[in-house]
Amino acid sequence: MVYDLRNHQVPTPLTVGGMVGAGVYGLFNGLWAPVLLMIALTHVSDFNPREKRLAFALTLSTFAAIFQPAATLICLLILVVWVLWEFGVLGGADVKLIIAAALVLGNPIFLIPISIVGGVQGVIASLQKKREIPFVVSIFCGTLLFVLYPYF
Amino acid sequence: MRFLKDNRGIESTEVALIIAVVVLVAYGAYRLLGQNIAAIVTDIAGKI
Repeated sequence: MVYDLRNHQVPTPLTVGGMVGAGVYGLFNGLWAPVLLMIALTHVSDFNPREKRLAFALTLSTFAAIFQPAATLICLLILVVWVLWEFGVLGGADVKLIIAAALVLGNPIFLIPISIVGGVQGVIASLQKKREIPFVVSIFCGTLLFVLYPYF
Repeated sequence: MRFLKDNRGIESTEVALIIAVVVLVAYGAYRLLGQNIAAIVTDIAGKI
């Protein structure tokens, strides 16, 4: 969060390390399909052209959901944030942190507090006539809010 | 590994507001219609 506030970037070792740790944690908690999907999408991001990337991502996500129906919503969340990254809407650090949080929490509802905090941050930034916000702050505060008050 | 190397942690204010609205509307619809949707899906699954 501090890195994002200062530089609008998060060092790769922090985000990748978090994603790997969350992947191991997810595997121990039985979320094997979303973990495999995360690894597969990391590789798919190097495919060319974009249509091929999107087709592979959609197919892999569908298979992940079919093989582990209980994790369908998490697979859908991973696909959606990955596609948002693919189109340049979300930053890579944001997406990696959201995927890591999804694998650790195992519940996609944590996106609601993140969205609320992001919306508040967006309104404040608009009033200050700023064009961009450090979204890692929203991810951190929203996830913390969900962990402390999980009644959404 | 384009995905792993991307370390941008920034987003436009418009996108943050759109995501907030979309997620809240989707969650509200789910809370409002979730039971009915589940009943319809179960009904269809039963017929299949």
